[in-house]
Amino acid sequence: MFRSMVLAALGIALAAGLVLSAVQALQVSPIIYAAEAFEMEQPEVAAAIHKDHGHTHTHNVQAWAPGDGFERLAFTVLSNVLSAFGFAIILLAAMLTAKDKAKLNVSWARGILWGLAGYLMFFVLPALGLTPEIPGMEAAALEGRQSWWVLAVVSTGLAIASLVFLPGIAKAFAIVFIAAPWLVGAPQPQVHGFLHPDAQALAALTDLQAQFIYATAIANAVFWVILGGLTGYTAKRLAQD
Amino acid sequence: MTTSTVISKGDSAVSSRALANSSVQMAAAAILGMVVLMGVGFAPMDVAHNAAHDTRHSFAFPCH
Repeated sequence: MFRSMVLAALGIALAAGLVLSAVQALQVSPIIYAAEAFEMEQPEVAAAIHKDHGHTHTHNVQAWAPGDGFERLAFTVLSNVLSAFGFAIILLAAMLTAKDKAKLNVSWARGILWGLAGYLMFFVLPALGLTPEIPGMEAAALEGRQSWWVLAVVSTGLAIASLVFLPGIAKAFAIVFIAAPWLVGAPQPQVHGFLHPDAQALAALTDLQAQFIYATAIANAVFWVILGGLTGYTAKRLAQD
Repeated sequence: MTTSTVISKGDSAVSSRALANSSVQMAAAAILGMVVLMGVGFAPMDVAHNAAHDTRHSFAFPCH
């Protein structure tokens, strides 16, 4: 079963990852590039800002990065497909376990519901605490944000699972799980927004940031619906074998 | 047909072993998925960050 799951998840990942790459290339990446152009404009300012704000990591300027254009796109597509593989195989394991233990039916239509749960769990709830960021935006220390992200994902997942699988009044556990990350609180930076010295650039970056939230919300929704539908269909076929 | 009769003889033992085996496989599959996601989305090395940069931003993984 493990082998079939890996192979199936690779197929799903290829499809969902490529669709995501297309949506991303159309409406997400252009915003990232536009924001980067402001960063590049004043490298010494950007460097000073990074130093002043006690970021816990420093960007090594010597480190390899894919060249702009085809190389960068290729690595982004590869990263998208790999991420989709990770999400797909977790979703597949969850669906097959739910079918096995809770006698939950699997199908492509049910899969879309699972996909929407994934969207809530991995994108919507974490993004409500930690806004999707464009390059150059001030943010709290990375480690704290990563820990909070994991907390938000896990507790949202447990909340959804409680609602679906626990009987009667026990469903109320969902409230505890959904509240947990907000009681802890998402780490916030001391200064919000951007530290670009130019007022016009600042306005443009703020505008790009607003667009970026919508762009990622749409791209991730499309991605999760496709991933969920395909995984549901695949889980049904794997369960029949 | 003969094989299915053979299996049904030791029915409960076989199915409970198959179930335990399947739980282990499900857990292994989920862990593999998490490891891949951690690598793409969270690995702190500059090279990993740069290669997966646009993906990290698109998924709103904490970045920079």
